[in-house]
Amino acid sequence: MILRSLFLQFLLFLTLSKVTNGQANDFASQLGYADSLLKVEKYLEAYIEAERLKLFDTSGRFGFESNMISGYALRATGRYSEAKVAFEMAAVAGKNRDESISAEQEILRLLILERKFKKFDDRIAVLEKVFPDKKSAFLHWKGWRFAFEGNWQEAKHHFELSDSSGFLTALCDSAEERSLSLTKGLLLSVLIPGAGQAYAGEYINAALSLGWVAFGVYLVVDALKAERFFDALIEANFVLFRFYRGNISNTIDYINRRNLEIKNENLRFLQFNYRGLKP
Amino acid sequence: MLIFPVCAQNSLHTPENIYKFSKHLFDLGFYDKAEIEFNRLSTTPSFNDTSKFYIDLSRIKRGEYDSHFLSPFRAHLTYAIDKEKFEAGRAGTTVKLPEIVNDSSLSINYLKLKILTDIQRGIFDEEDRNNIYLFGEDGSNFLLSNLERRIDPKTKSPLFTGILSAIVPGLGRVYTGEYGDAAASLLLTGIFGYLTYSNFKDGYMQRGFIFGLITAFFQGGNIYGSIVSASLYNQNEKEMREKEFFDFYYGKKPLKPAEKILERE
Amino acid sequence: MNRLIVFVWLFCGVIYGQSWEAVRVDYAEEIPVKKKYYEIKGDVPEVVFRVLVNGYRLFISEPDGENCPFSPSCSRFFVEALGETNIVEAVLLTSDRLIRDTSFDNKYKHYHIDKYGYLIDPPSRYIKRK
Repeated sequence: MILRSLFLQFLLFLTLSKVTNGQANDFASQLGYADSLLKVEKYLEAYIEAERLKLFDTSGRFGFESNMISGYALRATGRYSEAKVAFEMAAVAGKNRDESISAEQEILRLLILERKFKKFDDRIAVLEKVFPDKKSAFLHWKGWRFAFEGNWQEAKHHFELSDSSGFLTALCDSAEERSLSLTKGLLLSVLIPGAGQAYAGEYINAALSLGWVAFGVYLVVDALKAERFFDALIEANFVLFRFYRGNISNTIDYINRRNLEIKNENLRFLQFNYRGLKP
Repeated sequence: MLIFPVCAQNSLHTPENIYKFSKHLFDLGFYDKAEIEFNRLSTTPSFNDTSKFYIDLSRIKRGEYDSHFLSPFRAHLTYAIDKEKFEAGRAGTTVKLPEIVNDSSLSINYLKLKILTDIQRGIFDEEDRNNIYLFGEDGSNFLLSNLERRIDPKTKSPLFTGILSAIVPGLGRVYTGEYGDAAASLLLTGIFGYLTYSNFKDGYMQRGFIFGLITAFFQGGNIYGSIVSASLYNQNEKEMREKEFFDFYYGKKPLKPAEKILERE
Repeated sequence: MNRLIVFVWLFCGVIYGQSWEAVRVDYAEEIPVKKKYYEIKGDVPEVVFRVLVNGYRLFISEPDGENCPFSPSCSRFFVEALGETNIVEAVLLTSDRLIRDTSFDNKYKHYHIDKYGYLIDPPSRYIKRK
């Protein structure tokens, strides 16, 4: 009787340990399943299976991994806001600093891709205080942030500080050289209508701007000579000042457009040729 | 003899957990996936009327209103269809109250839906009048004022607006509330009109003619624009009324979802 | 054992209907579309018209700068209005558009805004549907 009771208790002990271990194995299998779906680019399915794991993993043991899978699936399908939420949950659920920092880096990458530079700056300021040992990594991401903004000087400075590859700093140098100066263009336009557009390479527009401003001056002077002051005022407003303002706004527009083209060229080159860490 | 308590099946995929997860997916709005998950229960004892109801409801949420119902809760599903049609902004949705014997939560919600759809069509019958109290005092007052705006909308006459603008540039737009445009009309027509007069008076025929053409151009635009602004005013009033109606609906949430009504019962 | 379970699930598991498509990431920023000129083709009146519109764009609209807050631009507004109605109504609509352009009102209250920050104002908004 006693032996039988002991044997049944032993079986119960085995059962319970197998159940609890079995459950952990089940979660690990589920995680593996979700991960395999992600690898074959079944993003919605991977997200659903990660959700399943999150619902039943009440202890949160697989919280980091399941949220990371959700985040990757959402990111891959362009759902950046939701991906950020998933990565934030992963960062909180991280079992150690390395896991948390890897989730935070995913968030930084998304903020760069979305061009949310203010939010990026605020977030990285906090992260630098929490993870002072990861300064080099943060400098690298700051470099990318400035590159995405088109501020090649700052980008180069941060890449240099983070000891990133010379490839990046050389590219920043070249982009900076090719970019046009907005201040110089504006100054030229203010002094000589059309000169700013010529600096930006728009010669036809430059000639037309100069012509219209000259015509406006002629109309105003002609009206003043005839002592028709109200006519002069209206002609100045609707012709002279209008095309003078147009000359300045065109200069700004052409220079910004040209610099944007240069930025896009360089960013696309980095996207397809740079092998290191990138957004 | 040892017992193997661990099944070959993963514990996350037991019928109970599949049911729990399916409801979770439904709550998250993944109706397609929720339907698939509920269908996984079809060979298990958990495939009860409630599971079938959720499958039917998932199809309704995806806009499949004509599918054959699996579950017996037809009144709830018909309510869900009518509610979806109403929320999809289908003006003119007619709701017919089904024959429900008991004074249940479904009856009350159906009645409220009928009142909302009737008001949207500008109708208010005896039944609506007797039951508008269901929306509370604030809700009733809002719905009644919205109904009044539908029956007797405040409109502006395009012809009258055009005549006003022909007499005084911009006056028609003042009448329709477009004060900035009115000022611009008056300014442009006034300035070029004065320049026309002044140049003709002083013998500058060529300049007078050019300014005259510009004045005629802006005066034509002023009158036409005023007429159009009255039509736009009337259109905006209609849109504002609809927007406020749905802001009220989504803000106050007076209707319970079909699945919540069923759960209560 | 785990691999077996994954294998079985992948092939015997649920069949998923809906799916999410992968979005291609592009580091480049979208450049706002520049004013386009019409192609010179068609019969004589159409060619004359297109030359006139292109001429307006080149000699007046371009040097004038980007000071119109609306989309489509005033010249394109005229062309679209002409396509939807007659020349008299198109001229009147364009005149009204220029008046509204000069308005002192807070325009952002009255119009929807497109992704480039322009106020959406097509001629179809004003032309009565017959």
